[in-house]
Amino acid sequence: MAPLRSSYLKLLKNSAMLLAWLCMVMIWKLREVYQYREVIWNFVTQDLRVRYQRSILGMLWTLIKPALMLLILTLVFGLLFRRNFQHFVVYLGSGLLAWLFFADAANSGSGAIIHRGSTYLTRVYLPKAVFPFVTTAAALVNFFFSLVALIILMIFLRHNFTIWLIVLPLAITCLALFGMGVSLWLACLTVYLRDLEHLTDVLLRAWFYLTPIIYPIDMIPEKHRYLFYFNPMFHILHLFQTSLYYGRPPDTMCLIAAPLISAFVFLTGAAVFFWREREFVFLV
Amino acid sequence: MEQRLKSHVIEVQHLAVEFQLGRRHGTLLKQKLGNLFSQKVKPPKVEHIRALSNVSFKLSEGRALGVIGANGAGKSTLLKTLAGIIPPKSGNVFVRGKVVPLINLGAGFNPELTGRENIFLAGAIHRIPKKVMETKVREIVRFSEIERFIDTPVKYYSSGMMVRLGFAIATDIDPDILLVDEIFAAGDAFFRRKCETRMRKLVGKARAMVMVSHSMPLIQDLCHEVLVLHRGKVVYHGKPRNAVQYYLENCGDSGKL
Repeated sequence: MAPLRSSYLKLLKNSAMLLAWLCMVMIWKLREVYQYREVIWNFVTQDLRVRYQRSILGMLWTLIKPALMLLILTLVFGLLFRRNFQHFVVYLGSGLLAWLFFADAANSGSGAIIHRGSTYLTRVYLPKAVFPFVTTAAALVNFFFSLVALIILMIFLRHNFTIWLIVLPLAITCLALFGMGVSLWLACLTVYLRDLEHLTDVLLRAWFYLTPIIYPIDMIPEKHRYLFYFNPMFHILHLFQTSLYYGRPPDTMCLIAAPLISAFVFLTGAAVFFWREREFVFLV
Repeated sequence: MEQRLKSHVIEVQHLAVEFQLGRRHGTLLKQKLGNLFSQKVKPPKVEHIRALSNVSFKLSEGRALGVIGANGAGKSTLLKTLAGIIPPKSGNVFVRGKVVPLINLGAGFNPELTGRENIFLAGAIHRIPKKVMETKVREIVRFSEIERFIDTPVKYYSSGMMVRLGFAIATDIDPDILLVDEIFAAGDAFFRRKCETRMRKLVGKARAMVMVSHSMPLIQDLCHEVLVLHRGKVVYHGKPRNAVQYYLENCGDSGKL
């Protein structure tokens, strides 16, 4: 019994040391990314400006696009679910905008290294993680604009806000972390498997319908509902929907699961990215 | 000990860099799936090439090092490794101070942005605070002589204008260590002369410089010591005049190496 326990202790000690070492590397790497925040900001503003440079409405498109999508989905699915909701458009918006951010972050993240990264990687020294951070930050800026627009719409519709709006900052933090983590994962994996860039887009569409965004979770029979608990986006969007639309406290499970899953995805994404980033310059 | 460490600004020990030949892009799903179903589809064989092997040298503060060698000798690879762009396969590279590479001038430019915006982008990439950059913009624009085009997107620039702007930016952000790779190829004779004057001033000001060029007079004129590379190895390291002579005698087709 005694030798067994000591070997357990050793394993525990070793894994604790490994974990401590990993944390140190991670903090050091993230600090370096932070030191290059001016580059990140520069790229983000470029992204936002250049994307709509030649169009007449310009930056307004960042608002018009989600608004149109919201309108279309409201027209199509509002008829179906009208009985369940006071303002279907608000319910839809509270989930859809967060989803659009996630889809944008994942899509642009998968191309972060192989597209923009490749032009800079071989020419100047930059921490490689700058590129997925840029794409996610650009998506986040768009998300903030659309969120503000939604809240204005809600005020206009005389939606009654409750104290549970305080969950919103937590929801946004979880969403940003999760989007960032998925971005880091995809940016890294796409370097090795180019097909992922195209695959991401298709998978996201399927994932969209598997998440309660256009339909309420109440529609799902109780005995099948557990299936949704495996979907990380369900937990995060639940926080948005309860705080914005329902105005009631979120389920405890979601409140715990959302931050844990987001942190896990972000940390593993960062670890994998930092583990392989040295090779990128040879592979892009 | 401290003194010795400080005096060497660049220290390279047994540096080796390897590249893959052939498969440059990551595998495609097609190839992986193909392998699942049949044994015939084999991934193309990966061949490695040593771009640099066992390169060691030290460079003291205030010195300028020239690197010469035939095409493919590994000169640019050496500079990129010093700049931290290419990770070494083995060996150590110590560089003390802010490195500014003048490699492929204007390469860091974003074609969609104007010249002025690119100045700030370059400043950010080299971690110069925006406030400091604002004081430098006028001088950069003046030196590059492209005042009229500074608010035009860089994609409409000629290659000469690009080089002018790139050179003006890179030399105006007070580098500690300057890495120069054959930058006078574009640009007219007048601008080239202007650049050479500024380079001479910079060599005095920067803590060290490593310069790659095929122009022997320029190397002999600007550098204190010269490294001759041949197929990734250092074959000579010494006084510029001797190194150039060694290079010309030994590295050509009829040479002994």
